[in-house]
Amino acid sequence: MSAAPRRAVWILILVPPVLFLAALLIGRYGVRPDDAFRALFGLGDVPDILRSLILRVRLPRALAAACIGTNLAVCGAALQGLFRNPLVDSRILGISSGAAFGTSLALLVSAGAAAVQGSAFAFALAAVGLVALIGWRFGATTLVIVIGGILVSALFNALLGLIKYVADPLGNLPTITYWLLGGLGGSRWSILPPLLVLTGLGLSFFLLIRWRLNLLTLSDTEATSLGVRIRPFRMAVIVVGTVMVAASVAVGGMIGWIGLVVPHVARAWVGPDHKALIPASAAIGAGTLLVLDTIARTALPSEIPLGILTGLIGVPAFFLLFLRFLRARGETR
Amino acid sequence: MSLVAESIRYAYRVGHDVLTDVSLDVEPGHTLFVLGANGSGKTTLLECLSGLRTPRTGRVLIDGIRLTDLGPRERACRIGVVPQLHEPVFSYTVGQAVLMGRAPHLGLFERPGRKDRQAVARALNAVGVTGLHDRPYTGISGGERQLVLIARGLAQGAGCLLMDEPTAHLDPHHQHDVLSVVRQLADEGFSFVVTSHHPNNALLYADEVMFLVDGAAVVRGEPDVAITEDSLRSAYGMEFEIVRGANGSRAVLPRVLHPTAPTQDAESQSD
Amino acid sequence: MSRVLCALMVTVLMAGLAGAAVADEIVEVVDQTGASVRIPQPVQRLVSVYGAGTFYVYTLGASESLVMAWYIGVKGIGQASASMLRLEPRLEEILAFGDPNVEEVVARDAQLVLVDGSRHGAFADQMTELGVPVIRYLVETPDALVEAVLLTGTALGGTALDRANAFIEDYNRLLAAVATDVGSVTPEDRVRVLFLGTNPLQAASGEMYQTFLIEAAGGVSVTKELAGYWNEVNLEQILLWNPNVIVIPPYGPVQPSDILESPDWATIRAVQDGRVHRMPRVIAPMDTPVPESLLGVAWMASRFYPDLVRIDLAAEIDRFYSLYYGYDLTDEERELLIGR
Repeated sequence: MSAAPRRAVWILILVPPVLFLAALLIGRYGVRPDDAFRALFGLGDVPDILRSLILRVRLPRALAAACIGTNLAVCGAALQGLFRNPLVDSRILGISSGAAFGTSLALLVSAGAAAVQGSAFAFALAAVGLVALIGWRFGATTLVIVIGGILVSALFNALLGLIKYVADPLGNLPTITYWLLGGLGGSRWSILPPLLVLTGLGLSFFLLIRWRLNLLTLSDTEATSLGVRIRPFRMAVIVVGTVMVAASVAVGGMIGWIGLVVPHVARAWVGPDHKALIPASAAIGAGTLLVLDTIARTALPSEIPLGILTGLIGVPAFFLLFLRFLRARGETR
Repeated sequence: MSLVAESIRYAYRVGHDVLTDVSLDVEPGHTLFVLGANGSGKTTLLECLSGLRTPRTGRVLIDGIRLTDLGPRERACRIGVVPQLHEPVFSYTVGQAVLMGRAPHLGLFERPGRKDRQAVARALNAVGVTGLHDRPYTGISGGERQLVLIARGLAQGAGCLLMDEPTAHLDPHHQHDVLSVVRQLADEGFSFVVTSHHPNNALLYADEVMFLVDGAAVVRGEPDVAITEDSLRSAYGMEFEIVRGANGSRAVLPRVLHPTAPTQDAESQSD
Repeated sequence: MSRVLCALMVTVLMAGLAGAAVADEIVEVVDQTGASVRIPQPVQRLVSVYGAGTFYVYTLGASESLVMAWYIGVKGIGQASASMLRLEPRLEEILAFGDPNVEEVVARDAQLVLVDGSRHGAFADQMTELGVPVIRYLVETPDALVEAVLLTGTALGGTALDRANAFIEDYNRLLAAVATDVGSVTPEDRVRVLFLGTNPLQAASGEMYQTFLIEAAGGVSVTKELAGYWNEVNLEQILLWNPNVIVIPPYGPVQPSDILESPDWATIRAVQDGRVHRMPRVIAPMDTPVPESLLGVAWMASRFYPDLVRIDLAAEIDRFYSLYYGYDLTDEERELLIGR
């Protein structure tokens, strides 16, 4: 890596911890920094309610935001390389639709939190499995996989519509609807461990193979001639990415745009080399979601659905990136 | 690195042979040009030689070892493929692109180190494009891009490079740049198999020429011997004439009537 | 000849008069959207698409005329409680749920249809076009409830109207009793109440019926400033509100133990004092715009101010169900309604 990207990556890596601490200090409940510090490290005399606020409410939520932001951004970056297409994110494989359906199904039958997460997982993997099956049956070219992803997403979206129709407006329907808009309001320690573990494992995997991801951007012929076993490599990337996204959707619902826009911002900053792109995406993703979630829970007495905030920010951001892209290619003034 | 193909045959579908009984032999320092019409099997031949496809019958040997006995990495350390030019999606720098050639030398979870960066520098130097290291691949000329792809093959550590129509899309100056680098590398001991649509380039740069017609190697030999009006006719299905320049060089011209020239001019120019 | 003609004319005239004598009486009411509705009497086949309105019909003793009814919170015969089945033996025959089907309603030969004015607009228009009288309700405050009950009583006429008036008297009496009992509480000492929804992080807005009930019971809703329908809130905001009492609706999966046993909620006043209550339910949910919401106010008042409220909750409950539903409570049901 040449100097400029390396410097940029180091700067980027320092930002999320700062935002994390800020997230612990900011909220509708005014907390003095020294009280927060004491509560966090179990020192001294802090009122129970403050301790509970910092340790049981804000801390798990900030962790969830950081993990989910990281997962979505890293998976998005990896998939953009894998499909050689900067316009994809995890939705292309139907992961999000599958996870959404799984979660809604579990919510419909008022299952416990563990079952909800498990269901999100299972159906996300099922969605990707179906796409893989289509690819296996009809030849795993990118075109086939993309169409397979569209079909599988459409299937799960239709089933999701059925769930919403059947759900009781006096029962679980408002919960399901709200959940589908994305939000971290329900973050608590009891549901966090799977997310933390899978984020750790997934991120480690992608950091280890980050340079090799560059090889996936070459044509199949070129990559094979460089000694790369493309099919298993691709499958590994897809499986690990799916697991990270499924764990994220199980906790936070449908949070869109992070996987699509953050890798672009990162690429604009550190270039397309995944050696810098992966850590940069992780940092920017975590930071972005920490900021947006802080807004979601602080701006109004009620929760603003996170998916709405990411959309409101994501769409103009993407538009600006798009303009920049066109100007760079000289196709517009 | 010596590359030998013995009677290879390949078919995509049973009964439809794309290559029949093709043999070749490329020694270190040797450049073989493979000429043939579209669909004559040139690309398939390259794919069999690189190990991307396995011949139905016959075998390919690199330094005396059967290609099928080598794993993908080991193959990649010996044979490199220089593909046709194409527009990449992401704008890697030249340095990053050539660095990808180090893949066969790196473990699954390894990242390139100093040794690899040195190999890249050497490769860029060998083809004469050291100054382009930090330029985006998408921002250099076609000829320079082709040289960068050759550098990547060198960074791989390959002794034999297979080039698929390296002069397609290049203007005459860049064609010369690329092929003279090939010539020069061959002098340093590398071997090349080059597919081409340009018999004239073969005349200028090849040590050996092979014509593929419908998957069969109809002629093989030194350019002056292999490239004749007969072999050209059977390869491309049209008439050519071979003309001699003042300094003894030869060129291939399609035998067509110039719209404004009188017919006797065509005859007076031929040898 | 002329005599025959004369006799014929007289007969026709008398038949006409007789017909006029037994012709339908027509009652005209103005529904809660301001529309004028003409209802031929007597109403013997009634369809109630409005889940809350069905319970007005029971309260007014006119439930025998129901041929098809939606019941608030009952989306299928499997969801009907034993109490509901005891109240309405014909439940399986008349229970309906989901979106109203115009043809089905017409097939039952409805003479009057009750709808939710905020949701069933298109369906109501179709019924009107078919010539079936439709009453549209908009009940989001207790005052509107009173108006709705009176409106229904007038529409059904006879004893129904008498019952409606009796109900209004009871309503005024009970609410006045509560107001007297809690009258001595200063504004700062008023109990702060959080009314949850169907998940622990969902709360009723300040505009919803639940908030009015809380205020009628002498409490203050912490979500008064929230607008709209059900709001999603987060734990931090709940910690900030720090309510004295948490009320869980009689429907949905949330149980007091979910809140009381969760370490995340432990520092909230209501949890520390053990003041987390789930509203009981025998027939209709007491936090919705149904006549039982009167009991809901009494129940809440007795929970908010156990030392001040002198209403005999047991007696009021017994009276209500037997008088207005003709329903005798079992001991378990009584326990359920008072016990917590």
